[in-house]
Amino acid sequence: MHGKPGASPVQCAADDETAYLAAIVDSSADAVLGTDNDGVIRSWNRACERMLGHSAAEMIGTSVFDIVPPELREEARAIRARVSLGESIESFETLRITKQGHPIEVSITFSPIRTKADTIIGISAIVRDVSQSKKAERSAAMLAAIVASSSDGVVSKTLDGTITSWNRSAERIFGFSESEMINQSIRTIIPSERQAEEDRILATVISGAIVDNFETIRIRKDGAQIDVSVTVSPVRDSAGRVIGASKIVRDITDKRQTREQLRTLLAEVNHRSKNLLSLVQAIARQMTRHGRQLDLGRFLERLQAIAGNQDLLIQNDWRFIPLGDLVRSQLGAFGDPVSNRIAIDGPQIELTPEAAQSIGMAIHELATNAAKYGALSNDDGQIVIRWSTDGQLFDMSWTENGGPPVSPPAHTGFGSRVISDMVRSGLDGTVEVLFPVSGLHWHLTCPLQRLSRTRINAHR
Amino acid sequence: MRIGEKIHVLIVEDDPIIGFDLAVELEEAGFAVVGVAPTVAKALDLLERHPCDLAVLDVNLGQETSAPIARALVAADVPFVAVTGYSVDQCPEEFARAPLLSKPFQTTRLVAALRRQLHP
Repeated sequence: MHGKPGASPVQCAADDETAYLAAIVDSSADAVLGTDNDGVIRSWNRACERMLGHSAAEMIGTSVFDIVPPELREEARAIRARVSLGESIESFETLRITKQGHPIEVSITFSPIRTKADTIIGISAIVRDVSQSKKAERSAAMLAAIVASSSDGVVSKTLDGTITSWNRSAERIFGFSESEMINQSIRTIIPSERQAEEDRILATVISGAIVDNFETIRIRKDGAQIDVSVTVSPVRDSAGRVIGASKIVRDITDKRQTREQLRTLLAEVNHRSKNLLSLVQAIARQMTRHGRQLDLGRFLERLQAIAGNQDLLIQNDWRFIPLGDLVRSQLGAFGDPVSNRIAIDGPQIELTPEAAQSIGMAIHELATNAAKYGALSNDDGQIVIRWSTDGQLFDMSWTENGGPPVSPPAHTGFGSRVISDMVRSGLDGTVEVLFPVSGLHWHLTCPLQRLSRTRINAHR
Repeated sequence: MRIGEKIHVLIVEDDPIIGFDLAVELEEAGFAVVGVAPTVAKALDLLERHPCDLAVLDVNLGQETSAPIARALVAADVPFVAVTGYSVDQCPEEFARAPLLSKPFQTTRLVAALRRQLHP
């Protein structure tokens, strides 16, 4: 059979048979080669030449290990040792080197070559090039891994809507496991009032078209409805006939909620910005009552005070303003040098935006007054700002000391109305403004729940 | 309202400065302001204690809307004008039949709207 012609004793009648067998081997589509027990090549058919590039003339008589990559030679020797002891090894997957030096993936079946007397005189190897099928296998495995690990649900179904695959994300999105859904109808996850959608989707797919990013509602295993975006594509067989559909499902519940939140937020921004314009209008109107000229400087300072509140509100997601931050922010406009002359003391209280506006404006007006006429108008004056609560009532005071001697103002302007009337009506409280010679004293009492939604940290 | 007496107006507005300004403006225009209520509770309380002829309602009161006040006013047959920073379609249905002024507005427009409510 294999091996060097004449290597075994031949009879005349057998010559024809040997030639016949040799012809079969030579014309085989599989690469077939034979070696002696030491690995010296004795036969090398045409398929070997096609696959590995070397001709029989080049190879016969050389070592078979020449076509084995150096790092695999030990492995090849070990296998050959087993075969030369009588073992057959089927479809052993390994690498061989072509004449051009390229490694190719092969599957080799090794068999011992025996004489009639059952002596092993060599090894035959049938070598099959598996690089194409390996490549296909790898890309199939990669595709499967991509589908399995996709964050989108990937589902396939037949043309009557029977589910044939269901990946992990589909399990996560719908709550149904793969085993629960395979062979079930896709209609399981479609709300009853939307069943007609599936008819349309199937008709579209059968016509060969794609349903692209169709936003709809589907049902989870627990009965909850979820917002999804679905892309459905036809799956064709090798003849091009549509035999099913693949479906990519994305849970867009978050996206829809985000859209709704955005809409609400925009409405809120609309409302708040118009309210701010009203506020600016009200301040301008009050500052110019009785034909008074608008004091532009004071007007702009007041706008800045309101803008400062806005910044604090944004820092706290537009929910509240911590009172301590509010007081410090409003006094910040009067500079660092005065900070050691102002004592601020009180527990952390989260003011509602409305209360923060009342108190913020009052602090701004008090500080402006102090800088002009009171404790901040000389170098020695001091201010103590203190607040406290018993959980029911809120109590806050502003007490000046050490400034120029004080007397009650001759007329009440916008600023004094802010610190008294507006705070009183805005916070449902009582406000006391006293003008002892030692310095102005402002005292506010109101229900705590008028200015804060939270009761935490009310005591200190 | 009796002849010769001032028209009594309730103002519902949560912003203290805007509320104060509205009160001053309306008094200047000849109305008697019953009070400025920043909350639903305060407004309902004022309504109970002081009968009024008209009301100005800010639709959004920060933590709540003034819809309950609108219902109470309709029940008491007191006409009102709604003012808001929201667009019309964002207002609760209680305000569907009331004149709606978009903030900011001039006092003359509010006064005209109030007078039309009294003498349709």
